[in-house]
Amino acid sequence: MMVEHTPWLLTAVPLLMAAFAMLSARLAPYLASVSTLICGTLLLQALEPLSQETIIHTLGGHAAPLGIELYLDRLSWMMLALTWLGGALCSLYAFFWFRSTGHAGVAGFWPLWLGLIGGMNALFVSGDLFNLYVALEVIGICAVSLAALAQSREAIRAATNYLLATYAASLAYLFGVGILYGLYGTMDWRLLATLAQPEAPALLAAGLMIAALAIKAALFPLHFWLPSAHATALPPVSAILSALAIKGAFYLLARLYIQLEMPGSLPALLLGYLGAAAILYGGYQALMAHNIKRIIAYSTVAQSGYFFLIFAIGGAMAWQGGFLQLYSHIIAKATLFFAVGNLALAAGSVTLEGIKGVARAAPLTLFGAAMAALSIAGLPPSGGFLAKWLLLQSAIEGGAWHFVAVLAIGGLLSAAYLFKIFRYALIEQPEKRFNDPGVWLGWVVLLGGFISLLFGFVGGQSVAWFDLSALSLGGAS
Amino acid sequence: MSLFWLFALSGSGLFILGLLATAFRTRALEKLIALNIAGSGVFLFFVALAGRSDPPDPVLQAMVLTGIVVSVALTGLGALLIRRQMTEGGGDDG
Repeated sequence: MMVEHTPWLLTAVPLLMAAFAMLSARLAPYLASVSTLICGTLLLQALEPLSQETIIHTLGGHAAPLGIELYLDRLSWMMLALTWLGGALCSLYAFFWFRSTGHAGVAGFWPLWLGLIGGMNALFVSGDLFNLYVALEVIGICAVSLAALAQSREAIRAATNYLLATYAASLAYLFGVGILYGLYGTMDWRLLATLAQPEAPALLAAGLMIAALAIKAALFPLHFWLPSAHATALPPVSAILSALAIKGAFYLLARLYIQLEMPGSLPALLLGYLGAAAILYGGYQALMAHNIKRIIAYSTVAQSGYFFLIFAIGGAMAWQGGFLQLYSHIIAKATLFFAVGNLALAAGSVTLEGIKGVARAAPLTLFGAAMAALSIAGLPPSGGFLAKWLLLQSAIEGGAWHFVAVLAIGGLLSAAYLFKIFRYALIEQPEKRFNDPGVWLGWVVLLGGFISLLFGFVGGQSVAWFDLSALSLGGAS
Repeated sequence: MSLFWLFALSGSGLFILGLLATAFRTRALEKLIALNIAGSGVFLFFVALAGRSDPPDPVLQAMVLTGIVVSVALTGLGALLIRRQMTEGGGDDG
């Protein structure tokens, strides 16, 4: 009976906790735990009704086109659940990281992080283009502020560039929404899907919105703001930004693709080819970098490219692969950034030279990172392997040999740049002294790595669960 | 040319000019101001759309208000970050 309230509660609870967290920095981690527990319960409760129908909540009792309706379907649920899982891991890591370093950023961290969760949850249940704009802005403002918490000159500069990019993107998105409202008199995207015609102003609006979301999702070549922002932030923040914050924009692009029935269209193909370019470019840059945080940040550019491949390949199998890749990336990338944070604490440096021999001081961390690295490099048994396998198979079935080549080269590149980190960490340095990053921080990495591997076993069933046959996905199969 | 097109086209023009300046100016403060100009263009476009009916469409006006709030928040945050960049000589580890 509670279940029709789930969509708005998922936003309201984290935002309320964010407000309280601002009052007391000491209580903030407990408020975050309460928020995590409540959201987890709400999501579990929604699971059963969702196997029959979409949960719709009409805010204030006003129906569309004027009112705002919230939709919770299986695709939304999967996004919410994975954000919840990745978010819980990030909260756990952040708690231990701030406790062991005593960094002053802790006062701002919890309210902003809870605000970001609220924004992401709002995004996944909104069915209204303007509501989505507000959700995107909540995410953007919280993400920029989190990136700036590191306080260093580089971090502030990177956060400024992040802000300018996200500001420009939000204006383009808003302009697109305005044009669509002017044409069709509604912002509810289910209504828009039935009303929209392929006429010039509507296409211009779609183009503006797609470009805006591509900036926010850091699709090559609009990724320019990402590597510095993600590489200079505090370790828990890097994990949050890379694993979660960029996923909202991608999810929206996927929704637009489904609702506007874009399969085979020029913008869809363009997004796919840019994704392929991102895999190669991001992989190459990661391989060339010497700063391990930068390696992992460029890895995000490359790994995000895989999601975009589904727009060009099409078909249910590619979509399952693409979303499984998204889910695996949330966990694996968060884990890798945790690991990098631990290595930096142990070695006092984030360069490859600096972490030489650090394996002795952080064995748990390195073991957990190795499990997450399997997923990023697409090696079995991991979620990343299954995802890339599905993408590869659908590319072969569709005869898209150029994508097969990109997937193969991308896999080799990611294996190479990740191997580089392990190779340096394992070089014996008997005379070098390291700090102890603390056992808890190591255990969180191990937990993340374990979940990454687990996805290789349960990922297949979970992505098959959301009803892809009901969506229009195009493609050969 | 009707009043709607006059406002809609000037709004679009401001939006494009603002974005171009954001792309080609080098200093962060100039970029931030350019984005504000682009934002005013978007709001002008919205108000032009609202003015097509009599009385004006309240939904669009509400959207402009929300847009302005978001814009003020982003500008404030941006100004703060830029000032931090100018005054502080660097800090601790990243």
